[in-house]
Amino acid sequence: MNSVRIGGDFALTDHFGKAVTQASYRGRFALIFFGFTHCKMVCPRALTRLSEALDLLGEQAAAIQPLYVTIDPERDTPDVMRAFLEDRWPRFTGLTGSKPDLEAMRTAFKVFATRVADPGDPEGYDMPHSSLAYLMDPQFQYRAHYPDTLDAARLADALRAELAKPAESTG
Amino acid sequence: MLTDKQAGHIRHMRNLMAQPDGDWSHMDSMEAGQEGLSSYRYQLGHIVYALGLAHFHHLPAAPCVFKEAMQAAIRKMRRREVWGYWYEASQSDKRIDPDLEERREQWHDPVVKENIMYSGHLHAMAGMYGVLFDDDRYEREGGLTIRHSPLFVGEEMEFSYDFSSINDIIYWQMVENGWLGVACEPNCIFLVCNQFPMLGFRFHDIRKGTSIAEEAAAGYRQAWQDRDALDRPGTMPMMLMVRQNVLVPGGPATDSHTGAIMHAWNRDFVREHRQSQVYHALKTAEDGTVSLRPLAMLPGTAESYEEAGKDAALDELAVQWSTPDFGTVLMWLSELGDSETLFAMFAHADKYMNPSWEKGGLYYPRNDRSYDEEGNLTFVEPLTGNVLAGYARLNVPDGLWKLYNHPWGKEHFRQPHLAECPFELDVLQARYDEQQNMLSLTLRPAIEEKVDARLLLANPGGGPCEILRDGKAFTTGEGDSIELRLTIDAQTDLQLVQGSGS
Repeated sequence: MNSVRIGGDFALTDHFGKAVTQASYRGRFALIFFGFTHCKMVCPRALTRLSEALDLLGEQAAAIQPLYVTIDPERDTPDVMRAFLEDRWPRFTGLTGSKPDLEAMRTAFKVFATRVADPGDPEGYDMPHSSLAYLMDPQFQYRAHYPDTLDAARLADALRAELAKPAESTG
Repeated sequence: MLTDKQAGHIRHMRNLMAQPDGDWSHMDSMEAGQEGLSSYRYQLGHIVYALGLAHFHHLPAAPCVFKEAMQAAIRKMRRREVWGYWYEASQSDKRIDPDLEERREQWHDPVVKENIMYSGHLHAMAGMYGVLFDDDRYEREGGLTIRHSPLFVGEEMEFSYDFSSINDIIYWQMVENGWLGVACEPNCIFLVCNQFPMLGFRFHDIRKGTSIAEEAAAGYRQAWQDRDALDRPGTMPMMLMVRQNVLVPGGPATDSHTGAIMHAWNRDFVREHRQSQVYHALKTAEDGTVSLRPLAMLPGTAESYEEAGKDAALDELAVQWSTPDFGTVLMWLSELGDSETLFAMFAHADKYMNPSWEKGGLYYPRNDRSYDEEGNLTFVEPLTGNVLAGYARLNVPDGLWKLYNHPWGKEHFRQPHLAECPFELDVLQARYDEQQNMLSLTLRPAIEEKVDARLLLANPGGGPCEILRDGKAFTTGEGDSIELRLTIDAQTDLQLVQGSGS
């Protein structure tokens, strides 16, 4: 059967400057969102919504590692990502890396991102991007994805349902 | 009750689908190589949508009239004649991608990537079938597998798909493209072809319990609004050339086709912009019939057509028509519920486009000649003549919108209905009235004068039922189904009345 494969191996740097791969997160679920720290609307709203959903999970949230993967390696260094995340969305770990490595990860997750002029910042640029959150299982195999039309409560319900599935159905 | 013309259109589409596989009589078009809008895939897709609308709105208790024809369309859709063009098209070309430096490596599989002009229809066709018949044949693993076994040259091909796997492939391409859509020919995202998978997503939600349609609608609106292309009056773009990031303008031809389908999921937008999109292309004759101005159908807005001035209008009769614009405007009018204009266009078609009856079926034969000697539009290509005229006659105002937004629930499939009926009979009425516990059917011979019929009435209700023929007691029955054998040589009413049999 021809089917779509989502996700794959990666080699990036987390916002502490440590080299990480998919193996670094094995044993926990990973909730992955792609964005960039200069994002004015989509990322702040999504990171807030995802954080609220994790809050609603209570102790179960410990089973999930939230990851924020940049689509803008030029500006998003580990330090920039750490500063962006640690106060407002401390559950998330930022991941950055080389342009080819990040493009490979974007391709593996079918992430849309493009670079356009930013009318509000002639010196800078904007990067419209897709807003799906991906849930990877403890073996870092794709489990589900969630659109941004899902509010925090419904997302929490969906995550809870995935966490409750028996381990043998993983992957 | 269906009119003779409505019944005739259903019959013609059923006749086409009953032709042996490989027999495309009446369905061949001007363009070679399955490139134009009358290609088999578009006729097959729209046959399914037209028959689906007829079943949903007119003959809800007669699935047997439509089921085999829709199966045949989905089977024919997977024949090599229909999709084989893709191997050539997949390599791309400078005409559709001016910055192409080297042709791409070709591939056969017509579903795996791009080619939404094929996969989007197969997706919507299979989805509509499942929704209308509560039948999972295309949802089972491999249910939409595409095979080709060449006799002499080439390799065996088998591309294994089902409704959900095609749904996933299209969905993820949409995501990857930021919801602008999936390319038809390489590098070309046409708006119209991406409307059909929007139907498919909704049908997938209904059948499989997913919630893609809401996400798709929001994503699609946002993506095109970001390009200032779907939130302003005037024409919609025809397509996006991806690598060049160029929007190619559309016009009434593309607006009508796109709008007729988009109306299902984006009704407010289509209604809001209707006046600025197609009406300026309509041409009213002295006798009140309505046809189309060819130059106004070309890409551009009503304002740009006005600006072109009357000199341009003088050249209209020199235009050689080649696309199904008459048919797509009919579709659009039927969905938007402009019955007055629709009737006036049908009046033109019936006067100048040679309506023809064959084996009980009504169609407008292909006519490549654009105008008659008096300057009346006579051009008909097979998509309009075989299918879209019927689509528009069988649709009702908001017809696709209703099917998309308010499909049948499971209870519909438990109601009494006509489950089996000879192909040779036309069904003019098939409706179950819950208040009266009565199934009403009207049948007549379609081709021969007399039909010795075996009918199967399913879900009669468990208890005893009375069957009336033309208002008089005919027989009684009960059980899971009731088989009737009768000779029908004229229009005949049958009624199954639950709980009244002895």
